[in-house]
Amino acid sequence: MKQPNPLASMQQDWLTHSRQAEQLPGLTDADLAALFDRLPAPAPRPAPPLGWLASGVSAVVGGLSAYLWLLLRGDRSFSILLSLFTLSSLLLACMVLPVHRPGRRPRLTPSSTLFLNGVVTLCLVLVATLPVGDGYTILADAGSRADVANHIQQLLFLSV
Amino acid sequence: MHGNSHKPTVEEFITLYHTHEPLIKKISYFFCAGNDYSYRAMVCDLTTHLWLVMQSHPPGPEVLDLESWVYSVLYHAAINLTRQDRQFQTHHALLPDLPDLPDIPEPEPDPRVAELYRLISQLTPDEQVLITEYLDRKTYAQMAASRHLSTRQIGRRLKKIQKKLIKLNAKTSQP
Repeated sequence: MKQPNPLASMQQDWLTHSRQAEQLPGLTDADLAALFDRLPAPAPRPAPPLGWLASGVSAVVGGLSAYLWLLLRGDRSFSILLSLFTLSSLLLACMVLPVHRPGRRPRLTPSSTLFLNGVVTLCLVLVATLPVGDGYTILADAGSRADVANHIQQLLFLSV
Repeated sequence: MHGNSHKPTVEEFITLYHTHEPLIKKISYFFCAGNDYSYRAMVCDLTTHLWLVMQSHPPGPEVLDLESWVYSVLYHAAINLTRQDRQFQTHHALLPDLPDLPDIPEPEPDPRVAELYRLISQLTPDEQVLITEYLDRKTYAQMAASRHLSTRQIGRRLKKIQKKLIKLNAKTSQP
């Protein structure tokens, strides 16, 4: 047997309910005025996502350091390392920015951003120093792998 | 005010409140039935929420039907309030003295309407908004305009809701 259309029969019931509900008292102008008087001032605009700021600042500092190191010391491997740090910072900044919504707590705090930054840098360093041939690595010349390892130690020492 | 993202002043909002007052009362009554929320608190909180939304995200030119927009804002707010969403701030404590507004209105005497409330409350929030707009005799064009959908899509969604209601109704009528 065909089921009756529930919407058709519900509509009349709903309209009866609506008419009853509309008879209930509501707020008067005086109530509304009192409400607006007592409402707290709107919350200030949320602070910019600090994780994003931290990533951005570290990207700028990393990029400038890489350039200066290369310019002043001519040390290519350490510049590569700093460039990788910059790259990871930029990657993180791109990851953090789209997920941030005004009024919501940023998902990444500055400390967690920097920690992730370190992890991503390390991964990139590992990829960069992977041997691809006779002592050659993806980003560095033969023999500079050891230099990169030395510089990682230096960087760790500096960060401590 | 409608159509150019203008934040309403208090006076403009009071006029708008009176235009949409029946809707606020109806949604408040619907949601306080069967929930731990008083009618008085619901009216206060929905009104405050509408004001705050109009200040933070005033309806712009993309809102083709202001009534449907208000409907959607109020309905989703009511769902969040009755779910006691922690992120949803309540303001009814600001107006403790409202002797004219009942705390708990008279319970719905008609069992068919009570059953209707129960069935609708089992739908998803978006389905609830759509079906109540339909029951309020809004045209397909009005419902489609506020959602940027075609009337055909609205028809399909209503058909889906209808099937769901038939299933829910059949489940409850089984002994």
